[in-house]
Amino acid sequence: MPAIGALFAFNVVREDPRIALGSVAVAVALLIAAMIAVLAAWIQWMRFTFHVEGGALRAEEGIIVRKSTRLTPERIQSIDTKANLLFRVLGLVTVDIQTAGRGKEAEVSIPALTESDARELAAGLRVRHERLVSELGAEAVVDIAVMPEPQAPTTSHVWTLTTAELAVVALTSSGGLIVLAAIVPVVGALMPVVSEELPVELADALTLGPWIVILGILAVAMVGVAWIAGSVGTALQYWEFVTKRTDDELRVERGLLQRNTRSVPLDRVQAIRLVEGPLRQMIRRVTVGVDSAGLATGGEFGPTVLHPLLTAQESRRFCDLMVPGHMFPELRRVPKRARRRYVIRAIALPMLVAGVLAATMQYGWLALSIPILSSGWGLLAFTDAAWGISGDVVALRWRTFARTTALVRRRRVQSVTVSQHPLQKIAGLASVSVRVAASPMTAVFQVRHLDERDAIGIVEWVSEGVERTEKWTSVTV
Amino acid sequence: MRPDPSERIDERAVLVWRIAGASSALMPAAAAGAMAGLAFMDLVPGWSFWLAAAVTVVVALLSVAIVPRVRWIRWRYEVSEDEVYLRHGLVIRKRTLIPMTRVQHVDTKAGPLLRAFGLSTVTVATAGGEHEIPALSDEVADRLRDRIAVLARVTADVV
Repeated sequence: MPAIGALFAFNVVREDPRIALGSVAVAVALLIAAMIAVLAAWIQWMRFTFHVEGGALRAEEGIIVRKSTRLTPERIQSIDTKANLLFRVLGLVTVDIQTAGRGKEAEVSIPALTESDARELAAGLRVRHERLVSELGAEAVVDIAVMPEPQAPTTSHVWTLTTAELAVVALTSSGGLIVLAAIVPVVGALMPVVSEELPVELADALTLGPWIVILGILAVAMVGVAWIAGSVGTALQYWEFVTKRTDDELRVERGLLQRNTRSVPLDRVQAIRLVEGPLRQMIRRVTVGVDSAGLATGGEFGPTVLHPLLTAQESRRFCDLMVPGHMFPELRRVPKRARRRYVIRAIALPMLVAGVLAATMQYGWLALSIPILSSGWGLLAFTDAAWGISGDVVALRWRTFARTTALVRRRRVQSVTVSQHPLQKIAGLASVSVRVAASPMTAVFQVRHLDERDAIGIVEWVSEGVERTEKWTSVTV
Repeated sequence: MRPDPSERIDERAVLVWRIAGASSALMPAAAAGAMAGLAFMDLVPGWSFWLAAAVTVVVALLSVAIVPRVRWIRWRYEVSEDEVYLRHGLVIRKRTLIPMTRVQHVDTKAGPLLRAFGLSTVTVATAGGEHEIPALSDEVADRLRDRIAVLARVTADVV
């Protein structure tokens, strides 16, 4: 900027010396501003210090307001690194450390570390099992102690995405659909404008024909562009996608322009989600993700994707290897008498809209096809709704747009709610929702219209699993 | 079938909710007043006043006379050593179970209205969101808060 400003000033001065002073002043101001920016960045960098002492991270930052953070490994939910193009060229990464807190950003974000330093930092912050055992007693860490303690963490399982798989992921990503969804209203808004601008004489069938064809081609082209754009975006995100499991953590690396890695300690996994979007479901593929508490980086909410493209069978083996302890319960569908509730729920709003359209517009009766389509959707939602419990794991499956199956271990259930409205009570049905800690705050997994005894059964199951110990004797309340 | 939670919330909650409900009827009442004035000046047809008045009466009847009592009847809670169990809901009836080991922190809070009646709300927070037990008498709320805090501390667990 200052360089351009100076050049600009020089040219102007040559042609008209009278405004030389003003130009020079502007250039100087720009130069000073740039210097201040560089200086501020440099001071910020100078003032940012961190070190690992006794397994805990200590970070000091801030120029005027000093922020000092101390973070023990026990509180860390996940460690992310990200590197944009510039950082990648320089071999640098930004390390974000997430805790279960509810801040808007990562608890600690350390910019511009070399890759080896970042690796060293992550290794230094790994929970040390011996220390945990000595502090909490062997029983408390039995969950993580079953895995042998490594000297240096070794990668035990690696899954990658082949180029062909990447192509499939990109083409079937809902990214394209999201872009489409953004474009459709624009087209919809343009349509009346275009049709109003048509002179009345042109509005007969002969001349209207080409217009409709042109609009049709335009719409198809827009959808095509949206789809390609979404696919390219997804391909860039999932470029060289690698999931690794070491003894005690999951690690996902991905991205072409911006390379991201995320490490989630295995004992911080709150739930597994198997998501099947409509396109992926058509080719019988599942996306596997895990929820961990704490906010994800870069506005990336929701579960961490462990693998975007697995068959149902592969996904079981994958979960077994990558997130052990989550067995798949046998799923039971919701009772038949719930079916019409799903259908009514799906068509209620479309019916209203279609009714209004049919009553007010010339070809409004065409809108009646919407409730017919959405009743199919309701039937699908009914078919997909299911639940199951096996030992320590509850599975809930439901469909909103994509079909999702959530697997939650009992000790990760934050609360469970059964709700029942009067009509459900008459039919002996109830809805169940399970809350788990997730990113950014909470994930609620809900299945509607279970048999009410089954719904209460899930509550009982959670209640039975509550850790009961003898320490109560020492508590007087 | 799991038995209902044993404890009821304070009965003064009914009165508090009635007052709160009455204030929610103020909006339609103001609208009815405005309509009366406008109808008197022949700016709006007379039936618009009657409509606003009818809405006011229905809202007042529901939010003052019926809802607070029913809501109080529906509210039950129970805190055992291992879990917090809640049952509430006016139309949609909810039962919520919170394992004690999942409780992160517990607060009491009271707005001006609750304070005037010596009532407090207990908030139980987990890593999966917050749950409230409304309108307990201050002593009960304080005791409950301390009790949950102790029970939750004993079973403290990382998320």
